[in-house]
Amino acid sequence: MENPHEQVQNALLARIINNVERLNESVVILNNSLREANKDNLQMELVAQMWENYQANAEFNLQATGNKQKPL
Amino acid sequence: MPPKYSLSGNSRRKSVFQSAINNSSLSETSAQAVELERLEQEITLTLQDIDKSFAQSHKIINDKLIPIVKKYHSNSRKVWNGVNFWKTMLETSANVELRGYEEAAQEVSQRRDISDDSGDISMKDSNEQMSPVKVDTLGTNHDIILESTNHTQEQFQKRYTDNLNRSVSTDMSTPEKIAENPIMPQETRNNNVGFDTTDSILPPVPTANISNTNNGSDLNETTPSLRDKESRNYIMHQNGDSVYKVEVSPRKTTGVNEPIVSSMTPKKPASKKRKSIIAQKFDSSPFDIETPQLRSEVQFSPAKKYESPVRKTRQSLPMGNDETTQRFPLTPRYGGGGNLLRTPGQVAQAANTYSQNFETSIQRGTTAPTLDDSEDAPNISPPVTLNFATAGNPQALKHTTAREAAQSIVKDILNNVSGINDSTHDQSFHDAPSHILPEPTSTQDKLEDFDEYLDKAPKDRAKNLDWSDDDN
Repeated sequence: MENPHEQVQNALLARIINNVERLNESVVILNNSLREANKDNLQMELVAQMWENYQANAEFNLQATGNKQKPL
Repeated sequence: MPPKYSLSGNSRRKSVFQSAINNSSLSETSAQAVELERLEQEITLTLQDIDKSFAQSHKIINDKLIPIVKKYHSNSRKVWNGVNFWKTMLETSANVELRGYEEAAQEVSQRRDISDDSGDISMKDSNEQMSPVKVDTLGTNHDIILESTNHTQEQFQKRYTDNLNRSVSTDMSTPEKIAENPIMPQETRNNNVGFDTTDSILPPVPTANISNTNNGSDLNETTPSLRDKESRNYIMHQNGDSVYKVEVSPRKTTGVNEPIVSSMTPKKPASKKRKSIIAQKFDSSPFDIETPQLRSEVQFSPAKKYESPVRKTRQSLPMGNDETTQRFPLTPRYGGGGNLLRTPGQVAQAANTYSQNFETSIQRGTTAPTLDDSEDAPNISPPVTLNFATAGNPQALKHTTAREAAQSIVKDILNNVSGINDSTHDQSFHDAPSHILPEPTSTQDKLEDFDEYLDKAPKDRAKNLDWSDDDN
């Protein structure tokens, strides 16, 4: 006579394995999509940094030259 | 003793109650059986929970996260399309080129079988050899470095995060980075001690790490400038598993511009070669440059001038190896010159093509090639006649205006034509091509007669040339 718990547990393990496989696949897909998105965002990040630097430099120069004016 | 349980599929464990029957003390066995049953149930429940959790996570990822991420990616692309202009503008204004590429240290366990790439970078870290291998996992052009040793990506990530912490503060925007960064510094403290400065993996990375971690070390003191340059040229961005290496390179030094320059330079020689070839066959003829010189020479020295224009043209023709080749290039110029000359309407009176050609040549003393062209077409030797004409009355025509000289010559010719042989008239007429110009001013009847005569016997004219200057 076989242990009924064993059967149930084996079935659960098989189910878990399948779920993990599917989960792994979906995670891979998610990572790929995130990687691509980050790749694109990297360029935007660079642009943001450059703009930030530009803003800082412009502000510094305006202050140094005394041409900085109050916002309208 | 209860039977051993094994999760292997072949060996089946027996029911607890069967084994319990044979036990001497029922109380002990029953207690153990109950306990075992309870454990089995707990295990089953736990497995069910695990299964449920995996299924739920899978469902969440598939149904929610992936669509959201894709939507985010599409929106980010749209944003990038709008930002691309500004990036280009800033790069152009700064005269630099920012190129981001991905250098990732990804999971090792999946690809330990991959052979080492000798051409790739090798790195010693804490006395352990690491053999990264380039693999194109995503089908993209990015080089992903895989580690075949026990060193995980954590070490790489540690190095990269060091760079990130130093260079870029905005990288912390992503949650992954935030999660990783607190971990990384601990590893960096331990691992950077053994860093080999000669690491060749990701050249900018180790140097930057060294500059960060060994700020007081000898290396930075000895070669600060080099370290600074390298650290300036590369900025590392880490996004999850992938690391983006942003290269800040002045456009002058980048190889990208070099091919542009090289591509520009070879194009010029190519065009020059084409021009040279064309010049040899087509432009070699003195149309543009040589002819005016020849004209001047001819005017001052009739004998030389006669030889020079004609023979140079003919020498150039054999250089082309084919008269057809010369005729082909010459014809367009000829037609163009003819059209220009026809516009005044003077030429229209002279229906003869030969006469037209002569007229044009006369009107434009510099356009000797047109004369040659006209010569080629009729199969006679009109250039010879022209040259003789210029040579025959050269000095007189030179110092007088063209119209006056032509008028005087035409008058003489008309007088001859009216009373004397046609051949002589033709010769005289051809001899002074400039005469055609003044013709309209002279009497129209005589001109018409003369034109008819020219139409009838052009060949006779060529044969009966009286000018002694001819080589014939």
